[in-house]
Amino acid sequence: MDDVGDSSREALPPEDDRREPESNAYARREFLKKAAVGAVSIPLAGGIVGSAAARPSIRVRDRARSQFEGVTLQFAKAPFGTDEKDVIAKLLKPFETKTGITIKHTIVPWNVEGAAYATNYAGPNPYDVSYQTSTDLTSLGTKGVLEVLNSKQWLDSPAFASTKAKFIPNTLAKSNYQGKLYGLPCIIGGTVIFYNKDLLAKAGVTKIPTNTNELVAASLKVADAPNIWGFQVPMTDKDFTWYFHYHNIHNRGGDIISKDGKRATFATAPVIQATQASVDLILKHKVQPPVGQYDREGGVALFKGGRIAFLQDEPLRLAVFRKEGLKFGWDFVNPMGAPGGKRTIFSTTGHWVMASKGKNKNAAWELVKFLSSPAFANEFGAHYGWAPVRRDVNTAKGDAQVARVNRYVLTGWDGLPTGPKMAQLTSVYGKAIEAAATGNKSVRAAMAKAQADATRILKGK
Amino acid sequence: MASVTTEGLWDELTLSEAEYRRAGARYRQRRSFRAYLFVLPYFLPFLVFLVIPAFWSVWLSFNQGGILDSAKYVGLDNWRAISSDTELTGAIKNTAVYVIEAILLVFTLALVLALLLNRYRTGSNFFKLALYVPLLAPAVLVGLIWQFMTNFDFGFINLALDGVGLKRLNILGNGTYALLTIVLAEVWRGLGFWTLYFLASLQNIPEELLDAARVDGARGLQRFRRITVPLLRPMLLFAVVIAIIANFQVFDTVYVLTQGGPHESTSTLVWFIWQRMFQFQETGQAYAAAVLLLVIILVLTAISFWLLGARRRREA
Repeated sequence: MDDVGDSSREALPPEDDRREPESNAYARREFLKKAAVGAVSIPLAGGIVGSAAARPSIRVRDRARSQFEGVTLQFAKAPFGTDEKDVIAKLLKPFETKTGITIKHTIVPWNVEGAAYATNYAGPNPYDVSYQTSTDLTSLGTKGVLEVLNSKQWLDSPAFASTKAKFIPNTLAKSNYQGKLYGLPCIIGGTVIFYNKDLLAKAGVTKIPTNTNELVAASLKVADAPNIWGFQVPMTDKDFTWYFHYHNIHNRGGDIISKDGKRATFATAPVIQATQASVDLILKHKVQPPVGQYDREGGVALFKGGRIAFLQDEPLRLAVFRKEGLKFGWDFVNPMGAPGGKRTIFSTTGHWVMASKGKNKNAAWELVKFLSSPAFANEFGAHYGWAPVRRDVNTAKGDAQVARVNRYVLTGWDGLPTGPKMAQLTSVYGKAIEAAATGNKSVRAAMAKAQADATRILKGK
Repeated sequence: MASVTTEGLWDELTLSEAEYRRAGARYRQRRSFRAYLFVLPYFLPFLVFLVIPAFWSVWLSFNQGGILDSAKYVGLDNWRAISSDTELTGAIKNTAVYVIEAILLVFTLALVLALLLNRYRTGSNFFKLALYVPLLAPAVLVGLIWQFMTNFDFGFINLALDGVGLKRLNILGNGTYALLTIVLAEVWRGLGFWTLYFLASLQNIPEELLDAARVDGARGLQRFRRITVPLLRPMLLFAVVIAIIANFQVFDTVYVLTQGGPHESTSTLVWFIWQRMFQFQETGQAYAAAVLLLVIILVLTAISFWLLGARRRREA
């Protein structure tokens, strides 16, 4: 018995096959032959397995329940909250049961969505349905990776005409770029100003501000107390600061781009005045923490800790604040207006889009239709406090706070026209705000640089 | 002594001179073929995943698109666009400052620690392990750790400043401090690796040379200047090359900590490329900037190797 045991002999080849190599050269030749076979066969096997794995995961059963029975759709979205996957799974269950379509949901983090979608859409099996905001919608759409929805096959089909009529016309108009609609609008966001009732009462603030001047006055009173700030809003490009400041420009009758979308308008009075008002809160009145001291989540944490009187953020915080049960009285109002000017709400529009290279476009359209319908949109919008884009969708469902958000948004919303360079232009604006609010540049100088950068970007092909 | 002619030697062989040469050539060919065969498993991926993409990137820098849509030749448009982009010049400057600060700091600290570990062997294994641990942490985790370290309210740095009666700092809100934080995070992460590298180099210095110098009356600092440093120089230069290549590509810490802010003060070359490529879908500009980065690294590497070669030539 050898020291590896009797059974080891069974693993050896029969005696006849155990031929001694004739020479070292023979052994080398044998080794090289095997190496060559391995070098060819391993990548080949990998290629076969890879191509099999890359095939669309469609499984059609013999007996079909519906025409889409067994179809699997890849669905991707940057989440509105940590619970979103569960919320969506619950809401999609009836759709999956009815159609036989299986939805595979991928969470795409907000910070990497550009990279995630670019790499996915470059591949052979893109997400069949995904969520895109108006900033990215057209840059992806004009590259041909998104299906044009305003065609006879989809949105303009006679079967969809009655549903199409229910959309708020402005949402469809703002999402349209050169006659093409790359996504079906699904929600309008917006921002609101949450306020801490206890802090305001303690500081003797009895009237909730309605414009930026009143906000400064109220914040100064509150910020008299140690470790308490009057106001907080995200101020860095990292936290999409432009998104939270855009309404200030609209309130003063301006914009960062001309109506025809060909000219940047950063170095104009409305943009400069609006930005100056925001910068003054930090550098002049010192009622807001300096840039970088607290990021967006840091600001929310300060508000929850009772250290900020006014917090500008998205309505999706409603669900979180309610769930966590803040230890002080709180409520919210729509964002501040311009003194003597308008009081609007800005947000991008969210869209459901279909991949132009999708293998199951008819099934994907079914899903898009369902996501847009009251069966999904009512509860989904209610959960995150979003306003609807269709007249037959009601995201409030008797919830007074969400109803108020909807009222604010539907009466004061002033959206962003979509365009292929919009993500760059808004980032230019964000960087200009950041430069001015850190005191690195005057507002005028920051906007002059933004104007030059934006002009160069718009000139590019 | 009788002269030996080649003719006489060839007479003793069964092969003619021409046949012998052909046989020799065949033998050499076989040997080369085998050698190439062994290199193939490395060379193929090198070719497919590095050389071809590098040349492809150069080509795409003269095109628009090429990832989501088909590439369209635009000549020098992308190069013109990035050359007039002030963010790129800022990114090159920030990257250069970062590289110089990070390399100087990490090499100084690593050398000091390596000298200490080389001298005091008791418990050195524990310190080697402790120094090496940060390298095992993913870069994202390192970024998050430093986000906590620099937090205004409860970060270690501000608590320490508070403790000694100094004013708290808004670290990530100040361009200079923010860049320095990225430097410190990367130094903290790489310190263990470079310490072990220098320790191994120090342990290769012949003890006899140091003993001889000691006998001749050379003091510690003199021994370090006259023996240790000259003998470490080749390793140091190689380390500089590797560190330049690695540090010019700093991205993950920037991504987690600052995303290029505040006001572009921490925007580095790779961050610029990433933003153009994925955030703005300006693929041509991203490729042009990537080619520029490649050229910068190649030039710096060539200079470092030239310096290394010059020293060797002088010594020879």
